[in-house]
Amino acid sequence: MLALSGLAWLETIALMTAGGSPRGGSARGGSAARMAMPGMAMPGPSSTARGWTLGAWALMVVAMMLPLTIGPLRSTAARSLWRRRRRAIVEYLAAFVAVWLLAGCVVIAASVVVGPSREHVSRWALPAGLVLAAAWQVTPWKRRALRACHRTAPLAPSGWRAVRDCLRYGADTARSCLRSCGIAMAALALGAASLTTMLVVTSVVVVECYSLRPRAAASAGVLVLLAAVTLVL
Amino acid sequence: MALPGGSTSAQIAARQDIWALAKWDDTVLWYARAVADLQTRSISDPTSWKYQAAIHGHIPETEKLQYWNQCQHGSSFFLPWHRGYVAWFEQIVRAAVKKLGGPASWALPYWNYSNLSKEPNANRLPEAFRERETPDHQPNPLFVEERNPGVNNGDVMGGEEDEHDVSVAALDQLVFEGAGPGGSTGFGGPPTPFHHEAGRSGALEAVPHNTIHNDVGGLMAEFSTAALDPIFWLHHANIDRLWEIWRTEPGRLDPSRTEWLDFSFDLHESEGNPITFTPREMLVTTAPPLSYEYDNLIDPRTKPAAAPPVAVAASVPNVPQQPPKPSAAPPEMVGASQAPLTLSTEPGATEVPISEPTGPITQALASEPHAVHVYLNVENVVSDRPAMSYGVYLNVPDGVDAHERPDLFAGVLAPFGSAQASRPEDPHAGAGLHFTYDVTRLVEQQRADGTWNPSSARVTFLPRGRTPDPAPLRVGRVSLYYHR
Repeated sequence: MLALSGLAWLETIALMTAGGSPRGGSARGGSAARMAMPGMAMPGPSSTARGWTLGAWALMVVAMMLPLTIGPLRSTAARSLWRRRRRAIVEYLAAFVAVWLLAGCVVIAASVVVGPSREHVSRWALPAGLVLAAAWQVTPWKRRALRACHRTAPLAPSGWRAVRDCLRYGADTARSCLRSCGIAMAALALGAASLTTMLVVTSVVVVECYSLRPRAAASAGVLVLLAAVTLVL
Repeated sequence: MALPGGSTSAQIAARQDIWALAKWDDTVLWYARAVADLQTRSISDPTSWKYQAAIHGHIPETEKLQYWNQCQHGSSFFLPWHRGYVAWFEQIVRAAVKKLGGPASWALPYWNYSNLSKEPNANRLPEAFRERETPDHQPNPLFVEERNPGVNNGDVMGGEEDEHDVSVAALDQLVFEGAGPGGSTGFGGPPTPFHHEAGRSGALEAVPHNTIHNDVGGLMAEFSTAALDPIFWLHHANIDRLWEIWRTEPGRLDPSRTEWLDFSFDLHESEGNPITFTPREMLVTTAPPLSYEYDNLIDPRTKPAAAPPVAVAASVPNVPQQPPKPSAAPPEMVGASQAPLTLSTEPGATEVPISEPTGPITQALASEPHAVHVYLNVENVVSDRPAMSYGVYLNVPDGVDAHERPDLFAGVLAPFGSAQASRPEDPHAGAGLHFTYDVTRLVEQQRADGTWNPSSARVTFLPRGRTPDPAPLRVGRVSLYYHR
């Protein structure tokens, strides 16, 4: 899982440092530090750019969200028969990624709706989105979502029920993950985030996911996200 | 770090078995008076009765989040957190006793409900807690109307004569922290609740901690109200004492991980000032900030004739011996039920199809089969309010009353906390509770007498206890694991 995520990060870095997006437009500001996530809210409408966008979103999900699934994947494997544990993991991940891709479609649709105003919106989407994400950190809904990310689920041992339960578990975790991290992820996508900003947000979500004090970690995340806002302004 | 509260080494408080005291011994009477005093204090006062109870569990109110609702269950912090919680409560009560004119040496008694070989009434609620009035004809603060039927009449815990609910078999656990999912939960519980093993209780927490909570019932039946019943504190003093007994056994070691030793919790001391404590600071009860000891640390199962001449009365440091070598291979699931099961006031059962193991455990089965244990797991147990306890049985033949087969008994399922663990806002995020039973002996017995079916197991749940209007209990899954 970490290897997969690592590969996604390498691909992301490679695309970002290859002189901006390969699919039209250039990073805002033109500096290495502000190179945009390829395919994300790029200035100038382009069907090719829109086609890349879901791929870029998927790359971001694999890089940033998959490390958060280590716990539930271990649980899935441990609660499956040994001979089907790899299948169980694949089923879980398929549902997890599918839910995130569906969310990506919503983000892309929002980007399309914005249309001609895209450049203006993308200028403010990231800082505004990060502020919103910071505010979300301290709400009880965020706390509940973070806890739900750690929920275990009973899995049938074999047959179609086992497939159903693994898919359901992956989808359930993804929905909780979306509620927990979705605002920040949408901000990164709509706001043409830099590599630095992506890394900052990743560190926040990973720390709060694995912290022994999730409430304190979420509160600390507020400060980090607000610091990220100053980076992008 | 020196913590406030506690006594000097010359003022170690001696906790006594309440059943060894007269009904209204001074210790008990002063406790009642102090409880009454604490109950008059405002809930915003950290030394008040309600505030202390809210620490254990409460519907969160934003201004109290740091101190309330922080009770540690289903993790290896269960014992050290409760030790600190009870110790500082004891100091708050002692301060109240002193204020009221009582002895400065007052110590919280413990309820040794397992001591049946020496005290036949041990598994009945102590008498002072059943009286509606104190000796001076005042309403008795130790009496709580809302307990399970029969408890205030002195019925045995759970209403059963089999003594399973007060068993101290947990003392036989060799390691403190358990294995991975499906295997032993250890004496003290698995590492931390905030990961994907939430809801698994250590052996001591499961029995007798959870069983007594369920058997007393009423306020004791839920996290959020349990500490409002004055018997709660004597119950937890005994759980704490059982930890001390376990630690005196050769080879029994507390966790040495710094993540466990140095994890900090927040409470208030007897003056209401905030303090922070760690499990590391909870390991020697006779030293400050704890400064208490037990009048005896004898295993309750010890028969009177075999009792040592001098009881161990001081906190004994762990004997530095090697714990059992943990297995490198994780527990392996060999079977599970296909569908959830709902338990009610009638017996219920489910089938668990079993497969041949195919993972690393096969090596252990080939080379050292005697070292492989079989664990029965009852997983993701949820309810919307307090539910009754169940006896769990392995392979009771169809059509046979499980009462007639005590030889097939696997353990008690006491779902204390199931309602809270079923709520989405709870740390368990609604996943419920998880129970584990070592059924190795049962399986070996059934293999020997030819009644073990290698392709399927039948697990029966027999209602026990007297929970009034119990909620249905939904069991997500029943599974079997092998682990070396």
